[in-house]
Amino acid sequence: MKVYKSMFLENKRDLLKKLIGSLKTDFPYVSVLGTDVNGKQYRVTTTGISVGDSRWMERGFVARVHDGTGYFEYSFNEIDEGSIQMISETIKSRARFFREKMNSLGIESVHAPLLKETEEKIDFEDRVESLPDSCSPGEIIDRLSKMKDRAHAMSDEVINVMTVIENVNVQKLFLSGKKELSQSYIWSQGYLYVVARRDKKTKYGIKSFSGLKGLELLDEMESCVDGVVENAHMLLSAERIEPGVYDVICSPSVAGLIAHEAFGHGVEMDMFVKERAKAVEYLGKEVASELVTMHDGAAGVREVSSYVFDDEGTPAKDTIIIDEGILKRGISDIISASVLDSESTGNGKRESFERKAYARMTNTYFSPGKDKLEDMIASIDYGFLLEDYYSGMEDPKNWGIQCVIAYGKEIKNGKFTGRVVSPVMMTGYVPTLLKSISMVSDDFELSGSGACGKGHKEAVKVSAGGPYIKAKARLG
Amino acid sequence: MIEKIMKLLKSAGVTCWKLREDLVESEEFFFIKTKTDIGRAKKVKKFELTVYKDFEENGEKYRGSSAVSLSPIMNSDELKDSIKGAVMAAGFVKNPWYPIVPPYTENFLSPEYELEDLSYDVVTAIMGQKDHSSAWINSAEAFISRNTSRIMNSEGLDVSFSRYKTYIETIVSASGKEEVELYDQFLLSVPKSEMIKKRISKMLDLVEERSNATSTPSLKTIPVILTGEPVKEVMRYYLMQTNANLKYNKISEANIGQSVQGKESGDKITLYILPEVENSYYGGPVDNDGFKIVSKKILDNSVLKNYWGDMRYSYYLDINPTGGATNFKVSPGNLSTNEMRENRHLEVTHFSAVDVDETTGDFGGEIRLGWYFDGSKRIPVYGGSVTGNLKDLKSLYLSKETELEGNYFGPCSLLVEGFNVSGE
Repeated sequence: MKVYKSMFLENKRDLLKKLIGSLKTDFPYVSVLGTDVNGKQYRVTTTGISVGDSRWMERGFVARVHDGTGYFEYSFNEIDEGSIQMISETIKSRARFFREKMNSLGIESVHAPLLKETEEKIDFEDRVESLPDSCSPGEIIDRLSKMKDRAHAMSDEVINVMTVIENVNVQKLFLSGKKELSQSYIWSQGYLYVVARRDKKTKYGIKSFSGLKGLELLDEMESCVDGVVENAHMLLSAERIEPGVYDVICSPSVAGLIAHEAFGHGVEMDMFVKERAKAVEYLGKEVASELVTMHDGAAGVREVSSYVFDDEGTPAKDTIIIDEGILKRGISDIISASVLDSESTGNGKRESFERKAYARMTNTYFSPGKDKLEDMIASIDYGFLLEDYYSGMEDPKNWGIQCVIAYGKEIKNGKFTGRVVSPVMMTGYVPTLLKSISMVSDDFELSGSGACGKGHKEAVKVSAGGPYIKAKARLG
Repeated sequence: MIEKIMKLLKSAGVTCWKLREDLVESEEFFFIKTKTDIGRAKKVKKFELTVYKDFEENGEKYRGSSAVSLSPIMNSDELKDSIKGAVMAAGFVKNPWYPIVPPYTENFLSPEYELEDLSYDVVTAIMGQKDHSSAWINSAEAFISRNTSRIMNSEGLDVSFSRYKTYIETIVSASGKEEVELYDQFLLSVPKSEMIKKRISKMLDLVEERSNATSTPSLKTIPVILTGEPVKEVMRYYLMQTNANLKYNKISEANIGQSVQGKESGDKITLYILPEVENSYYGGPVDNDGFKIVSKKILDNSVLKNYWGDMRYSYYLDINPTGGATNFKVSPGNLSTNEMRENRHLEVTHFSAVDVDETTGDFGGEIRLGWYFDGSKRIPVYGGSVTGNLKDLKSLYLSKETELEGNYFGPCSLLVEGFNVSGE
């Protein structure tokens, strides 16, 4: 089914062109991004039901201008024929005020050259199997409720269940002197969350689902309810791990977290401009085992951060960050690229029209290898298979990494013992971890159910994943 | 716009609703070292409408609801469709009945400032900071905003309030054995130059320490002192155990008259919720339903005196609502931070991220900056991790000194036994 473009944005297209025309008299570069992102989140828990707009919902505009010295942006969400002149004057006066204030304080601007654009037109409407409005809210709630009831029926130790689906229709319009781009696509995500309690111990199993999909995600969720309940049960018997360095096999989701935290954040090129990225010193050098090839890109794979153009009007690309262990390049927004005299990789993303664009990850993953998972397990004398994660954090300057992993299954002499440890904190120095990768499976999975922040804010949708990888890691 | 929405609600036959209007105006500054990266400003107005639909089944009353965001430039047809969709969705939502906030009208007045003046104070406080001998500001972002809100409902509630918010993110760097950095997020309501300068100066001192740090040794079960932001995250765990929503959803096992702490020795936590804490970025006079937030003692020496929560979950638990508070305060302990430091310990001020799981009590974080005191020397350390579970602590002590950290005001340090420290 076709995902049609936003009529709201289409109706504003000519007004925005007028605004650009008016601003062009004062600024050598002007662009406007219009966003119309809408969606619903349905949530059924043991004790209640909620239906509301998606937290990713936004509708508004951001104008970017270059005043000959540097860039200035203004975000707004009210525009009509009668207000064009006033908005134009507001942007002009705010930009002028900003520059005068900086000048009066003796604060210079980073040298950001004027963007050089080429003529480009894009008009993209994606397709999904099942559009979100093909089912009534009642049918969606009914299916989520049945999943919840099934989880409870499986065990008396289950104390709470949450089933969630969220469908989001992203519609964007980017206009500048030479570009006229529009895109419309849908991504969805879902969660199964099962809390179990035995005596005073509480644990939970969680499984997430995502993709450039519509309501077909519900079918995937329904087939996984039993597994999530079994996981919650298994974790009730889990122990804490004895801190130490172990041989580990990371599942595709944990491998994806490592890719994201290790060399995703570390190569965001606005960090190069700020001299915050250690990666600059290692371009062209070995940073990982030769088995490691790592990509980031909105083009090339279909997950929640696949798009046709980014929030700065740059077409999506597929960037090879690490090629057979060698660090090749970073990912960039358009302003960082211009400051660094390189080309944007189409990674300029905003949390919403209300926020600044930064260099951000899209879909970040390790390429699959040739090993079989069963051979990888058989090769471990003592170690753990690490599955699922709760969170991760990076340190781009010093290459530290923190991954909070949901659980590890103990392996002894190439076989699972049945013992489970949870939660598991994986920490360490990124190159040491990546250079220790000794086997890479031929599997490949991507997952994009969470949000990624820049520091502790600026949440955007990303996905991450890859194959199973065998490495040596410090766990605690 | 509000009149238009009300007319459409009436014609759609909606008799129970809540409407929130927010206007956010901000000035935003992005700096790289001593230069500006980019400047930004915004003016954005939003509406969120919740419609409620009541029904009965087998003599039981139910209340369905659905919330929609409305844009100020939606035309009448779009508004009509949104409201129609919300009404239909609410009809499928079968939740036990609960009341909405009873009527009252109030305009909570607060002092007015010019955003330009406030942003001048912030910019000069950040950029006027003198670099230390081997430490400097790598980059900074500052967001200064005025948030004006109005909440109305079908019962006749009509409240207005405004709030200033200042968000400052600073990355400080230092050169030592190698160049290192620390991240800081400083949140205030109205910016205070002296507080900003003091905070950044402290960060510059700390990053200098980090530049001389060595890898954390494997210290296993050593006593751990947490100072600064990690303390807030630990205390938030106890706050959430007393939340009506978590209790109703069976995530919290806390019961009135019983202790929320485990069997650990040491200090017992006394905790309050508050609508306002001086200089706090968070909070306000009312919660998202328009309910006037009350100040209340929640924990008294670890014993749960009152749950806290909004109208809905308080009604479900048959307690008086307090409002969905965001600010909380914890009473100080008897030991000073220096007294906590007298014996062998690891002190951590910065983790990569503090991970406290409100469902399981699991605690963990990778150390960005800490100090190992072996009984004679205090050595700065980084790397390795601290893990444990807040339900299984052996002891917990609160510092005498207090500070504001985000939405928390209370002891600035905790001394904990029962955590595990991994390292090299």
